[in-house]
Amino acid sequence: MAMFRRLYGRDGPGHPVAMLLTYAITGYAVWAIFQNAEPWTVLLWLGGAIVLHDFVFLPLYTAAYRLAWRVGGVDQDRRRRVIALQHLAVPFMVSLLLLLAALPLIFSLSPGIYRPTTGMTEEPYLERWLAMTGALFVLSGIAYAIRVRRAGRP
Amino acid sequence: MPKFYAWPPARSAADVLERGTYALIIGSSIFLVFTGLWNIAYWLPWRFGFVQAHFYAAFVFVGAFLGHVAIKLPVMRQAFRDRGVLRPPARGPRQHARPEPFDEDSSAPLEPDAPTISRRGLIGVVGGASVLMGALWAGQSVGGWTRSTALFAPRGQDPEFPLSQGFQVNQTAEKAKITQDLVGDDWRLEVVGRERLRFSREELLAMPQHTEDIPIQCVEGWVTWQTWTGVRLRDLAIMAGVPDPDELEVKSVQPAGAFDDVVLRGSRVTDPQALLALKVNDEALSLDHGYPARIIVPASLGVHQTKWVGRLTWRPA
Repeated sequence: MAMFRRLYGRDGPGHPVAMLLTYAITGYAVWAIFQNAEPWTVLLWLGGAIVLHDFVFLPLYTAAYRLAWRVGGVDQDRRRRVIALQHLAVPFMVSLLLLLAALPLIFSLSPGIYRPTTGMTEEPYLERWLAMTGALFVLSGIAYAIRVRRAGRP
Repeated sequence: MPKFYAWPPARSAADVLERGTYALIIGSSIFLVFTGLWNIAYWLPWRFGFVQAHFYAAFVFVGAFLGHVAIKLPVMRQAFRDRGVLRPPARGPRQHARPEPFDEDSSAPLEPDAPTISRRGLIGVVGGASVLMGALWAGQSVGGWTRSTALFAPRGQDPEFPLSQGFQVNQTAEKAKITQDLVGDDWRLEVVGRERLRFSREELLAMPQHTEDIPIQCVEGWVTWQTWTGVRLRDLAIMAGVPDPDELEVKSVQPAGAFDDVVLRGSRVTDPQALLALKVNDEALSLDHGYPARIIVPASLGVHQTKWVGRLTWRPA
């Protein structure tokens, strides 16, 4: 048992059995995807999603956050700055989420298929996204002003 | 820094296997959400069959997720035993929160920054964003006045291009290359069984008419309930001399587009609600909704509710 632990890294049969089952199911599914596609195009998507998130977006929003934190110099009121950052971060996040979810519509990436299929155009989506983003920041700003005012009251 | 990037990346074979499942969970979930959303907006920036890849990627996600839960059960049990099930891990205001001590088996970060948002705040933001997303998409399926709230859904509405008869079209007559010659006064429905019959639209309208509320359910994630009026498919089967049909082949007159030839089986076609619809909401079908006649059967997919029907072929059991 001790030798198994040294070689494998966990006690007992539960972990390796669960891993075996997991890789059996997912391995079969990945193999099935490859039957209908050039493997590299699928790997590009599955792997690309991880790489893009962890090595592009994560450093970007970490850097943006650190930068936003430094801008404005050293403030003695840390609590107020945390709240200000939240009121910027939340509308930014929601706006980005809407952008990603409706990306092809917002940037009219498929007018040749969308219009004849649905009988509508993708034109309104960019305007709607800009308006929604503006509204989110304005609402968040109003909420911030109310919070600061309340906190400032004795 | 997320724990995923702890260094060295693996200390044992078990770690390597576990980290592999994280990659599968993350990769497949992002893949499923975004290829799905972009596919229904008709942007296809990939070179593989979407349907198969999406179907099997769901197996990758569910398999890897279940495996992850299974191997973390002991950790979860230990955590609940130590801290109670509903007791919050931290009390009091955020600025008094202290980072969880680093531990091999927990998800505590390696080098935590000072706390910025409470757990309640985080759940509120994620939950609020989800509710907002739902509200901005759901109107395309709920219909009615809520259609104007579906601001980001691909089947909402475009004020400059009103929807034909007030509900969405999956494939316009233009895309299917339907011309006036194909569906004008010369159009005849051919019904083939033991007999071979031909009916004009007027003759079909003179038959007993039935009205049913039946949804069109699209694989792209929307539903629209409408009130359809037309001839029961069962009645047409009897007229064609096949009172006990096994299957019905529906052929559209459309020269272009997918699903112009569909086979429906069993109770889908013998059910009294199964119609060859001629009207919707008491109006003649518009060209985009399948004039002169379309199939409307219960418990079926939108792509099988064939429009611009030209021929029905009944095959006995």
